[in-house]
Amino acid sequence: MNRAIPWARQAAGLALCAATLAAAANVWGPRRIPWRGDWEHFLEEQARRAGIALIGLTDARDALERKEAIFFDARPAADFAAGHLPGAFSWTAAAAVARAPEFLPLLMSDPSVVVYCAGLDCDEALLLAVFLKNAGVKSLWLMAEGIAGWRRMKFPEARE
Amino acid sequence: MSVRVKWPAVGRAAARLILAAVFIAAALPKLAAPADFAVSVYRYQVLPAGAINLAALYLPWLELLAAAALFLPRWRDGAARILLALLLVFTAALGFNLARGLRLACGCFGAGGGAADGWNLLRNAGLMVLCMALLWPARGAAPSQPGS
Repeated sequence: MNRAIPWARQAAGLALCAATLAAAANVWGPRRIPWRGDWEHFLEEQARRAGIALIGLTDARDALERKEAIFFDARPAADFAAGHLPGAFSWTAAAAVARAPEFLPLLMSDPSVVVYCAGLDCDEALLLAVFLKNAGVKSLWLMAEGIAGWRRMKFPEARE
Repeated sequence: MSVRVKWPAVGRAAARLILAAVFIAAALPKLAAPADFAVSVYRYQVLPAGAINLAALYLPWLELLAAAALFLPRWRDGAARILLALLLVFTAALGFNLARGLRLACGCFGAGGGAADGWNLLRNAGLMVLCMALLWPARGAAPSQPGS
């Protein structure tokens, strides 16, 4: 007995219809977007628009070694605990305002500040950078490649 | 002669109405602004870069069609299962991010809105219960047992 499962056929039919409509809407509709977004450069593009400068991994490493900048890690606290740049402070974008009284005094003497998050697929560091820029931090850098890039380069890491 | 109200049928109709209303309300803003919805998907940090736009284009249409199909008797079983699957995926993605402490906008009803929290998970759980109520075999429709 060859009995198809009715709900599976229904679901497959609906899924196929949705795919057809989505494709048609993105070919002929008024709100087209690229099939494949340039998400690898989304962060850089957003930073450029927000007027935040970018810093490469090697320059960031040099600044860290020479203690020329304060580093803020914008990732969730658990990710920070699992590994971060040596000497970096954990300051999540979500807690930007809440923890400002704690960190802003550190920034009174106009030090250089570098912020980072997981990598090119996160924008928490950018959100924190925008907050810091608005708070008056002048020498501000976004390490767009984030901890993922840092690890790829096998640069030193600290754990808590 | 008294009219017997079929409560299970009324309940199912209500569940269908609620689910359809929620999913249509969720789909329309995403269809109106796919680029914004793609940013919401990107912020979840669960899909590879190449899949983000495809998901942002596809998911709202699936939500819309499945919600509408709840009212078509020939399609509604499949539709309820699609909605249940969508809820499971959305809840897992949101729960994963809440668990690791990433505070992000839900994006459930398009871009905007505050940070997601446990209420979003609870709401999804409620919607999943409604989906399962629709999929529960109706007593009257069950095949009669031999000898009964």
